[in-house]
Amino acid sequence: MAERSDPSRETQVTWRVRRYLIDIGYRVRSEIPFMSKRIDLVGVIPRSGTVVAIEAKVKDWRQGLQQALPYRLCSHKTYLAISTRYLHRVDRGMFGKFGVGLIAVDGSARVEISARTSPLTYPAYLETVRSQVLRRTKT
Amino acid sequence: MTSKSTEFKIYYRLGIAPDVGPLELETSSYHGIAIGANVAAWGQSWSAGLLTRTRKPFFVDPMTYVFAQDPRVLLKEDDLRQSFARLVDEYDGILSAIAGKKPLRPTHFWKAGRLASAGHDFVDAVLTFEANGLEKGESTQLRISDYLEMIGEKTEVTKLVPEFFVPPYFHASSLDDDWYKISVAMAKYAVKQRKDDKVVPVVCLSDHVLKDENAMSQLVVDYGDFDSVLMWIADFDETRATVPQLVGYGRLVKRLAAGGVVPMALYGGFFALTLATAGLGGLSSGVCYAESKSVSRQATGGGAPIRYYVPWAHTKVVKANATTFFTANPREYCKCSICKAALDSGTRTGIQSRIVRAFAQLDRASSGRHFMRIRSGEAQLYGGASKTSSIQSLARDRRVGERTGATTLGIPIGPLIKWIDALEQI
Repeated sequence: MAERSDPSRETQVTWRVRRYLIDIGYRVRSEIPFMSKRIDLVGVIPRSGTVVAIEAKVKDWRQGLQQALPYRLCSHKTYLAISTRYLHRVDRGMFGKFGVGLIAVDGSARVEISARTSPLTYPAYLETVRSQVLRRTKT
Repeated sequence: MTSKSTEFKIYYRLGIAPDVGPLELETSSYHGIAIGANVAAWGQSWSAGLLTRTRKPFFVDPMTYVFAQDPRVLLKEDDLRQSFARLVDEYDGILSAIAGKKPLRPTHFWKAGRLASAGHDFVDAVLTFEANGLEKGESTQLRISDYLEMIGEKTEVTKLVPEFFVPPYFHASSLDDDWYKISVAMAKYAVKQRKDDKVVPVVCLSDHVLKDENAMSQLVVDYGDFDSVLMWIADFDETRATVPQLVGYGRLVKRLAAGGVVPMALYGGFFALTLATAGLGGLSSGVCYAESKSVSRQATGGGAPIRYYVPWAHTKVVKANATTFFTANPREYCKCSICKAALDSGTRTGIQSRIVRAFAQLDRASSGRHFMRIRSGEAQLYGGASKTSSIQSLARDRRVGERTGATTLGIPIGPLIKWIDALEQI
């Protein structure tokens, strides 16, 4: 039986990762358009300009990884966030192969596998995504 | 199945303005151009200019089916879309009173089990437009030609005559549907009216026909007097169709071809091309889009994301997925001259960065030209191939997909698997 804290909806996964990123100093926006896609969450550290892109899923890690892979073009680091309950199903080797990180989410979020810095980042894409986060989070 | 040595005809449908560049630059990669009558009516000069410059055979799709659909498909903010408003002016008659308000009904054309005079008039109007509709555009071309001659540049302007005439047609849910009988009757009447010209009717049906052997037989009887037909199975998307649907489509092609009628696909993609071996004589599509179509979908006026055709997968994917795949598998990067030039070999960065940049800078014209070159090669390879060699070739492509982890990287191999399965059963 699932723990009460296990997220059962994608929005819960997203919300908990968002809180985690804000706690460690990121400015965060959701649903950032990138080419023909929408990134679930993008975090930017204002001082350094570092960009992380997150795809959130409850359990379908394969589809999540597939969706996350193109985010390496527009971010420094890319993560898939998934419910802790389904973490055992994940093929960790695939994450290492593509340099995508993994975040486990239950009541809170924690990094299970650290992402490598993307070798595919395209400056124009990065800037577009980064500016959308910084522009939209201005108060 | 026997292999056919005759040319497999590829027609590109003139749709959006960015298609013009690839159509002009890649003339050796295709047979002809298909023009929707609404596009011809609205962009007479534009269409005529393209046809004059490319000197390609063309046909006009009369688009008549759309007037029997929900009128809202013709509207934009409560007004008739401009291109259809122009077409209604050209076709005139009953359409002037109802277009955008009510759909055409079979009773408008069909009385006492036969085509009424309104039906004859409609056929006449449609054929007249196909013969002369581009005239105004031609006169603009003539004026340009006169001017070029004045400044010492020689040009040649020839009258734009379609390769064949397409009678009015309507979508029918089955062969019992009155719209089917009307379409057949209009096609037969068109032949009488254009005795010296080739007439190629459109057979526009729901996918029910793909599992109905009796209906296929009846089609061969009804269209047996025509040299060729354009087939349009509404909503039939060969990348999403089930194996039985694909097999049914192949059987329909085979039945028509065996009956002496060369079928062509009004909307078709790679799978249709592999049916050359079953007797398909050609296909039309957009330049890297519009390989299937619904009869009731509202036109949106473009804006679709640029897609890139992955040669081994015979599938179009969004740029983000193409970049992901080819950066992980640089050896699979396309060797066509368009793609090689985009790779910018002069830069000193690594191959992955160059691939990322190539796709970031890929525009619709380059993507279209790449597609046209690859499609032309496919037509040569599969157009004359035996069924066995087509299947072997697809099996090799499937292995590329499996070896490269394509599915994870956003390139689906499901269609390839279904196409192989279907071809084995046709």
